[in-house]
Amino acid sequence: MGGLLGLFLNPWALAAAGLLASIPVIIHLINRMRYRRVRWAAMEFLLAAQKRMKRKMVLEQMLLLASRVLLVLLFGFLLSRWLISGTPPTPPEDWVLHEVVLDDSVSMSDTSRDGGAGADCFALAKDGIKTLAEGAQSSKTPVRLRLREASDPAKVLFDEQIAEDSLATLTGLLEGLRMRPYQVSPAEAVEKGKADLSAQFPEQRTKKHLHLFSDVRKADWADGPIRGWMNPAEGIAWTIHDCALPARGEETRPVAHGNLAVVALGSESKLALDGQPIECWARIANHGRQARSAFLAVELNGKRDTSASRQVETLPPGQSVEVRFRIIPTRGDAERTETSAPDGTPGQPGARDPLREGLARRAAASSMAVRVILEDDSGEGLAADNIRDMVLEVRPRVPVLVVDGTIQPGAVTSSDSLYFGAALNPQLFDPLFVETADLEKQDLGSFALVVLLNVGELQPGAVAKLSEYAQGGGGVAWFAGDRTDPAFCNRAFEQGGLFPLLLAGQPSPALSEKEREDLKRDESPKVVFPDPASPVVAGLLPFRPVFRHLRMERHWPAIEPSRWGDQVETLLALPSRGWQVAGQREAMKREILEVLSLDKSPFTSPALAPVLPALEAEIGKVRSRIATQGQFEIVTALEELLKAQPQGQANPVAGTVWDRPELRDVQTRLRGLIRKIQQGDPLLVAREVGKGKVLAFLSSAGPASSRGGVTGDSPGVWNEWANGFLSATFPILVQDSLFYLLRQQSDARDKVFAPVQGNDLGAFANPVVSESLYYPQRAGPQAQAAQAAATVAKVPARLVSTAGGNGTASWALQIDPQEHPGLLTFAFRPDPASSLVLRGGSAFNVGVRESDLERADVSEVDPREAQEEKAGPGRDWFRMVPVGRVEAGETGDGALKRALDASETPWLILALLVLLAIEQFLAWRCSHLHQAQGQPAMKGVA
Amino acid sequence: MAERDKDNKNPRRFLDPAVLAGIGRLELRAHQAVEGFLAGMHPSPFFGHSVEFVQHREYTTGDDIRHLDWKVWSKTDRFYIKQFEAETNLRCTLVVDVSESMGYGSGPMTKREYAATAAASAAWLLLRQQDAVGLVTFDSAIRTILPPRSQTRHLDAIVSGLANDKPREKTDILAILKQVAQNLPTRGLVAIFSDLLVDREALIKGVQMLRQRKHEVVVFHLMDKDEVDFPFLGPTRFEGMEALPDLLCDPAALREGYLRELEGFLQEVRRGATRLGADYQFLRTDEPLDAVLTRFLHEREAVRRAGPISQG
Repeated sequence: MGGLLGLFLNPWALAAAGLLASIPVIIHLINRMRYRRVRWAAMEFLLAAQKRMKRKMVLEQMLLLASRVLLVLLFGFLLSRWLISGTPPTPPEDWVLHEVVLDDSVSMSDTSRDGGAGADCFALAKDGIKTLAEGAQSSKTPVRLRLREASDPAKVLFDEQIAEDSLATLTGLLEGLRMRPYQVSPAEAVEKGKADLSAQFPEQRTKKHLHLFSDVRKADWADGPIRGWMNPAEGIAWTIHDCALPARGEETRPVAHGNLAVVALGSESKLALDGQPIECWARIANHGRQARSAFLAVELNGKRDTSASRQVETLPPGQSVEVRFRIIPTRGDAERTETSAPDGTPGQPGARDPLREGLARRAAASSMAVRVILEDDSGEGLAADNIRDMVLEVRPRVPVLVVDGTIQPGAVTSSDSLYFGAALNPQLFDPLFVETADLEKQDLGSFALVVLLNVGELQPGAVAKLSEYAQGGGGVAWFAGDRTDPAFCNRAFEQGGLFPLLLAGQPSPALSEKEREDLKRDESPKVVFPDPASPVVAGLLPFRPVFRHLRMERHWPAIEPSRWGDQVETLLALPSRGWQVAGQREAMKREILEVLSLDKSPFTSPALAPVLPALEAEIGKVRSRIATQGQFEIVTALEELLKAQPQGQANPVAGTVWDRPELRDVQTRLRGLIRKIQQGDPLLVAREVGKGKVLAFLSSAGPASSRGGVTGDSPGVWNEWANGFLSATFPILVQDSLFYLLRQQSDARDKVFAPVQGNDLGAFANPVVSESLYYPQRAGPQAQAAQAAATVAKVPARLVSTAGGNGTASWALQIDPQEHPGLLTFAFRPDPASSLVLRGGSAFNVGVRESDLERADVSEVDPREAQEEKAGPGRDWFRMVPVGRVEAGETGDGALKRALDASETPWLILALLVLLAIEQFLAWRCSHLHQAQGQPAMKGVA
Repeated sequence: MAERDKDNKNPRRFLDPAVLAGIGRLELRAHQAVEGFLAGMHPSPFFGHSVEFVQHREYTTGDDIRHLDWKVWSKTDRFYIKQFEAETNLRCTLVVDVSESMGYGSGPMTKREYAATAAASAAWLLLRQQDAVGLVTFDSAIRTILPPRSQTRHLDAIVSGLANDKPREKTDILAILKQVAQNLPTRGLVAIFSDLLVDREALIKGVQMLRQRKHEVVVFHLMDKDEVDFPFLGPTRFEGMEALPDLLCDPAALREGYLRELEGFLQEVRRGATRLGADYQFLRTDEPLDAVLTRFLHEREAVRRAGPISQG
């Protein structure tokens, strides 16, 4: 109605309307001037009658006048569109074009539960499209409709002018459409449709309408991209057809159906060891308004594991709960091939074929299908997201490639490799030690981890391979030493984070004898734990007090922490060196005393009176430690102080006194002081790179550096962790670090659905698939039917070759039902002649954002307020309606025009006719012909 | 044209032969006793020598013994005399309204002309019965007074009196009727010819005054057919007579209210006349006068024969 409003705001239009409205008044006044004269005797009766009937006559005349004025106005209103536009009364547009985007994501499978088995949102959406097309068929203006699905924006499913035959085609097409089981955002399809509308139909007389049939969930609008899509200046009218159930009425945000969903499934390690229990976890979200309970069933390779399955008693509304369970993986039919080097001796890399060894290593792996099924008796919510799959790689041991930069002819036996190899449990790890030059030759995909011990600069090819390995999900661990090249490491940091931080140009200097003696006498721990809750240091934490005996002399300092601090997790650190300087130490002590001064704010606040007794005791301990104790004791006392609870309260969940708003500043300052006192340079750091992780230990793995390192100084001791008093903890450090690298990122398994790509098969010239097992996800009634039949389907798979980089072929494994969620495990031979069978798997799960069915608020979807600020008034280019409510005028001639010019609505014509009838009735009544004609003058006069 | 003007100025035009022929066979008799000065056909308040026996009365000294009823004496041995009703002629005064409002007429005759014709016809009828007829014309005051006379030639005076007065000014009915009552020493018949567009209260008081003086009152209420039917359509400016304001209106819209007011007026006048014992006759000027007068005289005769004579 913006155009109409603008028309009425025009002063000339107002004058014209006034002239039109005054026509009946003028006619009335002219009629008053044309009268006849009668000399009348019985005037007293006439005057009395006029006095008696004056009010009624005025009312009738006013009504008549009003109806006539309205009639004139309405008639002028009807004519205005032709007069103003100057176009003849023909169909207003040459074409009406409807671009329809159908949301085919999983959430559209929600069904009505208002009684009986109702249609799902997707079926409602298809019906809505059909209704739109049927309305367009009866239009006088040619209407063209184009349809595309949100899951495949580039593909136009239907693009024809709506006629009887094309409508039948569209109906058949709609019946064949199926929902996609993955997370789909309609954004891309809408963008594509909008671009096509603008590019292919630039004619001004083409009315463009973009329809989105979607369930309009809040999750789709959470990032708010659609607000940006909609712009009235583009000349495209928008209609969002809300297909969600229950149907959207007058409420701004209708209540959505509740839904339980398994939103994540993972294991503590992405690599499972044969026969070794591995802890897995499933995260269950309750997207509802009531607490629920459910049973989580676990299936391994298609068979129910009753010991792992468990009842989840409480699922709080609006929250997610992590359910942990332990499974014992088995390799099944995998060939039990030992793939370690024949002698397995570090430092003696044999002249073997690395690719062949890699192949054998791959053949030792097997895949295990893990499925969790949320059995929810309520029947509410989506069924598709109650199942989640993952594929575990099962190996007899963890294959680790150890690249030692010091292995060279004539190397000393006390190299880092020796101590590192000794730290690895041979039951768990299968290390292969190679020198730096051999790194590039290795099949990195066959290793779970790559460890770089005291390596210098690597060849660019090796760096690229390593980087690709880490980005693809591999784990890379760096142990520093005198051969470490800081310039190379810093370049690796800059080029994608293969090295986790920036190093200084030189390692810390070697200690003098006096310094070494002072260090021995120092009672404080030589390693601090910035994050005691980290699982990497969980094994070392019990030994924390004895770390004062650790001899840690040299390391590589880190620089510019502002560039890497946010991305890097510091797992271990060296003590602060500032504490060793008397002046800095005294300043830190004074600062602590000042912060904890009880006669200053905020401790003087009356609000803190109830907690002051508890605080005074702990602060007293800190004061006494400052006077008599060293660095470690002071830090311990401060940590204890920060755990202080109000008197009489012993529940740690209830929080500490420091949760009070008055004490938050003091708490922040105390934590900063603890870090300042305790923490110096980082020693063990880690960060995520792509799908993988990198870790760096900034001192050497072995006790002494090699001769002739890049530092050029004499060989000396860097640390005595591997061979000193604390040598028993070195295997803990090494193995926990490696296990940390094996821990998968939270969403690593949510994106697994894709044809198996070249990383798996690309190294093979002519692979042959020997077996493929498909475990389809069947939810709801499908699951019950499937239990009677086989749950595992053997499906044919085919390999598709695509040209990869570097002139190599890349292979993809494709199966027919690949767009249905489920699990695929497969076995193949690298070439027809090979006896080795390689196994792999892939899982396809429903997107987690599809599970939350909460509806979007109208204000979140409606972009007009924001757009009007930029584009000026105009509210007719956007509508949001329940699906199925398609007005006849909208589908054809009146598309857009209906909104812009209300004169097109049949209601206006009807109003005009009704008003005309009223006017005629009033005119007849006011003429009093019914009284003057054929009626006796009065009773009793004759 | 000159011939027509001459006709309009001829007073005898009010003596329409057709009307006179219609009523010539009828007679107008007083319903109540009137005091005439001649023996006539009308009942008198006095006893006389008519054939109409009235009563017996005990003989008193001085009574004429010729009137003794000897049959009664023979039966009762007491003297009674027989008394008979006296009959006299009628003194009728025609009171004709010649005010401005009487000048309205949508047909061939105005109300005034219709009233004059009716009055002249009544005068002719009465004079033919040897009754005395007088004339009073009035508007705001009495314009013409002709005392009742029974000579035939008095008819010319009456029609001349009716023709002389032009419609003028506003009617003051109370003063007129008061003056008429004072000028009539003996009881007789007063016939009022008017549209009665006057103050109702004054009209009722005037009639009441006449009735108190034992006059028989006949009210001839004249109205034009337009005044009764109000057939006007289209915007019309009604110009008021007798100092009433003008009104521009859609008459069709006011018709309903007008008729309601008119009906109320007619009922009020009719009831007032009936209550006072006056004879009320409504005359539409579009109705043939002979038929109207014939019907009136027949009804009057029928009432006289059916009911007892009111003695005022």
